[in-house]
Amino acid sequence: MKPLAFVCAALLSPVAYAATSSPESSTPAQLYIQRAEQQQLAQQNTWQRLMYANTSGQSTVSYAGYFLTEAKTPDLNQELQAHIAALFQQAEPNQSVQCRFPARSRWLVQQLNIPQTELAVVACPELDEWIGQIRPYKTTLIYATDFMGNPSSMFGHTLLRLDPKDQQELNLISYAVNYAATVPGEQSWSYAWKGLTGQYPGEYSLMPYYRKVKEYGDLESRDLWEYELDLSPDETRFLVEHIWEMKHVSFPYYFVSDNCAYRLLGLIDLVRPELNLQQQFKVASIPVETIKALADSDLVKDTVYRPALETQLLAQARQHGTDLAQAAHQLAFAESADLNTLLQPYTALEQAKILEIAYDDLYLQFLARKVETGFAQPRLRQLLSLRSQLQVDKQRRAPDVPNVDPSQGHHARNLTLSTGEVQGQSFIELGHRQAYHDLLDPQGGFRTGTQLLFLQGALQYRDETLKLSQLDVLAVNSYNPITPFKTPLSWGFNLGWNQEALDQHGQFSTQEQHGVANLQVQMGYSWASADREHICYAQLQNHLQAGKALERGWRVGVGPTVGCQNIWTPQLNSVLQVELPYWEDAQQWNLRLHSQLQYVLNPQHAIRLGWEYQQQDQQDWHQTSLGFAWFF
Amino acid sequence: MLKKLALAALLAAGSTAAFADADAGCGIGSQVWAGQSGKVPKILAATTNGIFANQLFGITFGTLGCSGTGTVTAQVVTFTNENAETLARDMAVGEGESLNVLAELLSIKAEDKARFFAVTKQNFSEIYSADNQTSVEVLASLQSVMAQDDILKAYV
Repeated sequence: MKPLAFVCAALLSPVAYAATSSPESSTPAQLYIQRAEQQQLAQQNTWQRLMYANTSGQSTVSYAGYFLTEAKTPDLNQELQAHIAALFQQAEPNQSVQCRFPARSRWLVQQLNIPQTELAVVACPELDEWIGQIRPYKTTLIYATDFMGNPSSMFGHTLLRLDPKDQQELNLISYAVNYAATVPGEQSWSYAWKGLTGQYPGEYSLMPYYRKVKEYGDLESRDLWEYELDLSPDETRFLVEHIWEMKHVSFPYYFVSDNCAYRLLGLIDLVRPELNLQQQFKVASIPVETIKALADSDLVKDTVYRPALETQLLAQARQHGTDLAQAAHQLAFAESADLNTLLQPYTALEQAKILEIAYDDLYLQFLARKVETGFAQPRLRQLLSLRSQLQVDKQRRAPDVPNVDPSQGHHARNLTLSTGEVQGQSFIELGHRQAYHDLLDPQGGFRTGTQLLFLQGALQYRDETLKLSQLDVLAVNSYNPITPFKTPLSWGFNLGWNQEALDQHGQFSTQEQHGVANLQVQMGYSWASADREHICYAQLQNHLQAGKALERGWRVGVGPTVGCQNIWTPQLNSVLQVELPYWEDAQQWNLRLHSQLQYVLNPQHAIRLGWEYQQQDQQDWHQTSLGFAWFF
Repeated sequence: MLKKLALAALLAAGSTAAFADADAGCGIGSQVWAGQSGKVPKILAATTNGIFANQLFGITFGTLGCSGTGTVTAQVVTFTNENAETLARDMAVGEGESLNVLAELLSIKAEDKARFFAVTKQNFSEIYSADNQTSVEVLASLQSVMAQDDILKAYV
């Protein structure tokens, strides 16, 4: 009777149970609790991480069902003891601690060396079925590259894929684990604010990987990179068992810091207690930076590139030539009766290429809702039907894998040191950027034609004075080139503060500089070479500036801008931009030229040469500089 | 065969995706974005992820009102439905990752895969005929094509 009475006591109050331990009442549970105390298990990294303990040893999980003890702020040591006690208790199917908290149970059983025969015999049909479906064997980290169309995905996204053994060709039906903010209902402008301030709950979800491939690869035209992690099958299983424990748990989701990438690192830290990757990303966790941290810890085994559908389409246009691509685009939208006539002049091989391109083109237009379902659905089938009748092998060739994968690109933060002359006066300038990538940076691992700057500033020392020469709060530019298939807008905005060549009355000056706050918005079109190593653009630009030096305190400038981003070799690239705003206060055109040339020593170090020129009111203004950029 | 495929009523009026069923019962396919138009809602919906909240931990294959019997399992129907555009794209050229997955899900042995790819390409117009508006109908046609083939009939 004694053990039974004891079990009841433990059920009622697992906390009280620990206190009752004495050498003579040697139930198994009690023995193991003593052993756990001797081993100081509650202080170990794994237990602390399973409990999501903060630095003061308190759990950050707010869901009460995550704990066995019922204290308002659970004591992690008592929680551990209650868990050990529960390992020896019978329970209804799916209700035992082994079923509800399989990762914790496994770890405790292993650490305490408890033989299976001593544990309570329990049945966990739900968990067994769940794990049986996933069949976890290895873990792959998936990186969805950045996407300028949405503020929350400008820095990219990471998720995990759980692959069964020896099923590489079936990765599409592997399960993916995603940690994301749950945003209820329609989103409004408060979305960004709530996302930044942790007002949405972050939760794990599980889905077939093909759904993510479709979402990112087809709908958002984001290439995926798959990094197979060097975790053992046991570690992968432990990770999956822990995901099960997180079923009803959510944390406040912060877009910048406590986000998808941050939580996934926590999972890796959990299965590798000797690591502490999360620690490096307390302030901000940019997904691609977390992959670099994984790679630095030798956790990346193999890298696979999964190009987005649009990337595949553009690769076909490059492989087969613009003429066939244009014929395909025409065919996709032609009258049904004209399809055969349009195809007739071409050989069977060319027809196959045209039909394959036409399908991908139309499907993407359909996904972008540029074409009616009533037209697209029968036409898509018609194109494939015609294609299936050609006795020609598949003509789509996989796009070339980029030479540099995102984990090998430059770091998001940088420090620049430069020296030069402004109007004959020499200067030294120190610059710093928090994130992320600009048109001049080493381009390997990034999408060319995109620029995202967050907190970039520079201090200039000249003429015995130190001045803030520039501060970009946020700048986003997307130079999305025209293709044979579509004519997207290239757009950008820049919010910041900079020095302008102005005197104290707001007139153009070759002698003085004064600071102004600046909002700049631009929109237009871009063109690119087939490999996208050379992009040029033409846009209409609006400036709105405010500053004490300006006559009315503010001014507006409107005008055209043209520019080019050129990658001449992997080591040598340049950016050239000409702006011609018409300042309405001075009623004068202001010609501005910015040019920069960069020599890349390695992805994290580069030398830069710059020349800036302005002309207004028949006066010239020059600045030349030579600098060094270090990314870290 | 058709009896085999007499699955739950998957048909709903109209179809929002190019190939996939409009009914959300069998996986969620492309219709997640139904009822929204324009680029902005699409982008937001696609990145929200929260739209899947009701099934955060669902064993997605088979628990969404989707069922099947014989070789056409719930997973086959769900996969065919949610990957319809890619699968048809592969089938029309006789090869591809998603076509290979379908072959695996239909338990087609490695040595018969080439045959499966060739036969489905040859009969593409029948399998994805304009009359077949749902994945279940597509699969029924696929099965009748396979039934007429000396080797593939073993998998029906």
